Amino acid sequence: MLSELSDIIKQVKQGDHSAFKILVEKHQLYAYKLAFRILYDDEEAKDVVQDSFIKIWKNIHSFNSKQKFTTWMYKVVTNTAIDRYRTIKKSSKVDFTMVNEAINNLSDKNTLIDFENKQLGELIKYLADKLPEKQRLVFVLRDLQGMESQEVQEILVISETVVKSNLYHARKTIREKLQTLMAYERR
Amino acid sequence: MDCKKIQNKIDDLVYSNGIQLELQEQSHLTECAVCQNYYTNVIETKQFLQKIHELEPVLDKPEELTESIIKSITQEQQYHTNNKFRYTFFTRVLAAAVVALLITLGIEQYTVLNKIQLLEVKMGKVQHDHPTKYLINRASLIDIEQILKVSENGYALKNILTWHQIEQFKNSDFTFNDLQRYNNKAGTLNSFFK
Repeated sequence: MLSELSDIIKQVKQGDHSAFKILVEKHQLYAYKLAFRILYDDEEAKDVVQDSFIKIWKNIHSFNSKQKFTTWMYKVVTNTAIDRYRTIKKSSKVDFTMVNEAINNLSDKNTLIDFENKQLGELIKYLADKLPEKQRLVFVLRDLQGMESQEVQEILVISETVVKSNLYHARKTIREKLQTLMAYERR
Repeated sequence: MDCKKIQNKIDDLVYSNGIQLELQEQSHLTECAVCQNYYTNVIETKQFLQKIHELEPVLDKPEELTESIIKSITQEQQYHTNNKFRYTFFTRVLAAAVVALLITLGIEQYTVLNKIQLLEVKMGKVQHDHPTKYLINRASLIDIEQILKVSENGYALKNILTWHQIEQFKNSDFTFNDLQRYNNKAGTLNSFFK
């Protein structure tokens, strides 16, 4: 029974399908969450996860075992999701009804938060969609995905200063958007 | 105190651990309504983002996604294997065709060269066996036009072939009169042959 990640990766490098299946089962949810937060769409995110794992299978020999596998995987998923986002970007429109519902749910401290993917997707889309690409990615990875700054730097291949600056501007824009929306809700 | 500076520091304070406001900055924050409002906004936004972070997108039927991924890589591998087979097959066919073409062209080339060689040998034999006869029979080949008058008593040849023919002509028993009979311009050659 394969348990250690390094053993699984060794087997995958030798072309073992069952080891790859274990690898997918262990990591697909993390990959899906990241892809969803970048694309705000369930089907698109699933497609990205599938494409990413095919890329991982094809390029597993280039994975350096000194690296952290999840960081390498996140890098593949992020790049695949960015490519997909660029092609679908023009057709994306925010559903404001869903955004308002989401804001209400989140603002109500007594309500048990029960969000559907669609509602969450529309909310993230509303907050992040108009941001420049780098700001959006830094915001998603850092604030929504909860990654450390070091990992974000490795995934996006940028310096700490660039992460900080992009995050600052992204948060500022989002804060202003939220304030506008919340002020409207309070009326 | 500069509000802008304080507000920048508030961002660091809210989002990063271990950052504290100095006493002067703290007293500004308690007095300045704008900075207080900014501080509240940043806190609210952070809490809001924290809630969104906690909202996990739900992956329904993860086993279907796994199956789909495994199926894709199997198909990918199958396609790759088929392509490899096709590639190997076509490479071999192409190599065989090239070899066949080279052999055909080689044989063709050999045949042509062989024919030329045989012809050269035959022609060589004709010249060596009967050089004089050959020349006499073709005395008219001496083209008088090929001999130029360059001065009163001097002549030059236009080309080496004419010179060669005249040399052989001189060594043969073919007379100059015979030549004159072939060409009425031959008179100009008198001084050259003397």
